[in-house]
Amino acid sequence: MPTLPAFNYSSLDSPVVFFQGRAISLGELLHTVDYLADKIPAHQHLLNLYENRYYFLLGFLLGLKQQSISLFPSTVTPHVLAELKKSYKELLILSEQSPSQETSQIFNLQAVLESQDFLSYNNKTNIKSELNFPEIELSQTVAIIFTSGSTGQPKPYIKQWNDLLIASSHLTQTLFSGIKHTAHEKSKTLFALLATVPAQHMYGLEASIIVALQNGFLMHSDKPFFPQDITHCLEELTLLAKSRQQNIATSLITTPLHLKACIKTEVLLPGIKQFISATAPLRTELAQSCEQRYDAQVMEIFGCTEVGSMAYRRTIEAEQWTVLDDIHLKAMNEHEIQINTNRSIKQFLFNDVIELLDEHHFILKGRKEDLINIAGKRTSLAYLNHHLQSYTALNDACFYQECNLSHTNISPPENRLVAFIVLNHLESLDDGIDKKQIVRKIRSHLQQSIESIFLPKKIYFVESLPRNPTGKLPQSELKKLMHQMQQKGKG
Amino acid sequence: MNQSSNNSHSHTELEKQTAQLIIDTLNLDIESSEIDPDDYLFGEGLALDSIDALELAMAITQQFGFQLRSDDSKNREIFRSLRTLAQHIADNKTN
Repeated sequence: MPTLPAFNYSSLDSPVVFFQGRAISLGELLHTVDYLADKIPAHQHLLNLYENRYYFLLGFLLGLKQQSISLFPSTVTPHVLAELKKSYKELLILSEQSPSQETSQIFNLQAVLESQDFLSYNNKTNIKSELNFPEIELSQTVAIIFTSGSTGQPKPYIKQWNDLLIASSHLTQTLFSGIKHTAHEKSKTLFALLATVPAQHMYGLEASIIVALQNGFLMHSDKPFFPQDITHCLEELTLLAKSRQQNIATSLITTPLHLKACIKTEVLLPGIKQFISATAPLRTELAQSCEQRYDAQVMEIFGCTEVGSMAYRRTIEAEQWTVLDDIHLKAMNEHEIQINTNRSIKQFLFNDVIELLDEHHFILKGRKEDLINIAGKRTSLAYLNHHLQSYTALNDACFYQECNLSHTNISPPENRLVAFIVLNHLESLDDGIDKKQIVRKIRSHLQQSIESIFLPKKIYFVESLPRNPTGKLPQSELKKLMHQMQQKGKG
Repeated sequence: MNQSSNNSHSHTELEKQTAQLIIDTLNLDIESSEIDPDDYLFGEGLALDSIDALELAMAITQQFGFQLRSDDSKNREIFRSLRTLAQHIADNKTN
């Protein structure tokens, strides 16, 4: 079976991850992985919940080494956990704390690495002078990534080692080879990645973890949230490069929401060479502002959980997207475009509405009606409605996404969700029911299965939903209903 | 009349300003006087989430001229309620 290395750093001394004020070298990282491999309880599947990329990486490398499979659900709610436990045996959770009232086995990397035992292991055993990490079989299933699905059950997509490598090598070719070439002297430049997105989602996994490992880049372990946090992380990387007498070249792996936040708060971003944005299309004006203010190019990746990264563009140069080399597009009929690839999924139908220019180029026209994208996180209306309608006190209910198209401002607020509900009881809405109490109960019901950003911002009590004769809810009718409720609210 | 006075809370000037900033930024259809200064902003209470926090941070920086940081262990406390957020703004504002 063909194999390829898990990483590609020039030596064991190369810095891999910046953690708590210092760079951890490849040698030190693998030394720690060796120790943990002896301690980790037997398992077949890993649920790696670490937001910090140092701990995440340790968990991911342990999985690669021991041939266990990392599970990456789109969100970790009690409902999702229960579903995963049912379907995947010997599940081990990697986390500093147990999620909700979880009873599965938990392995706390942080606690193990702060133990006396690890300190004495570090004192007794020297870091090996030779690389001891197996090459990974290309067909090894290293991860299963889930979409929220439409029936209430997370839908799994298998990722073999080769799938991640294909995406990473094409991303390198299109997005990173440029900054590598422009660096004056390669050995005098420290290439680094900083990400505001989770490592557990396809974009974060490919662009911030696999790309870093395969190119020998340094990754910052933090996931900054506020713009000033991004500044702080970039300053740390800049200082590190200075102490090594190197120049810094950092790429920020992020989303339109965080780019907007940087521009609006006018933070400084030292050492930034490139912005990479994905999860939702970026407005040209915003990309333009970032390029000008920070003198760094803004590149976008287009992809999905099912396939991974598929296309790219430099936002200020083109509206059209160019597919990565292994992706070929084919129109099946007027509405459906098929993606063909040599990754293990082979074929997939586009989730989004696109205009096909040729086999390699397309223009993004919008999302299919069922898909919801808020601040780059995706779910489907069917999934949300399924969980809302399962609440027993409701006769009928649905989610609706307001569209703030009237905004002329370059960075409008995110479009959030509202819900319309029809109560079971026929009693008049004004009589003796505690709306606040009902809203609270519905929200806590939804929290069991739905990530907080998808919870309805407002819940409207209505007498019926505008279903058409086939039982469907036309968007145009929901829009009218929304308008009525807003008028009522004002009156 | 009775009902509206029950739901109305007294705010300091900065709490009033902060409440209005929250309402305008997040497009909430309530009056600033309806926000209980001690009610939770996240989770229960106003039920704000992480995107709201980022939108609020942008608005606070633009209006009050200082940046929020999350490595600050007091952060949870700062965003706990209208009162604590207004206090943090009072301590840090530059304009």
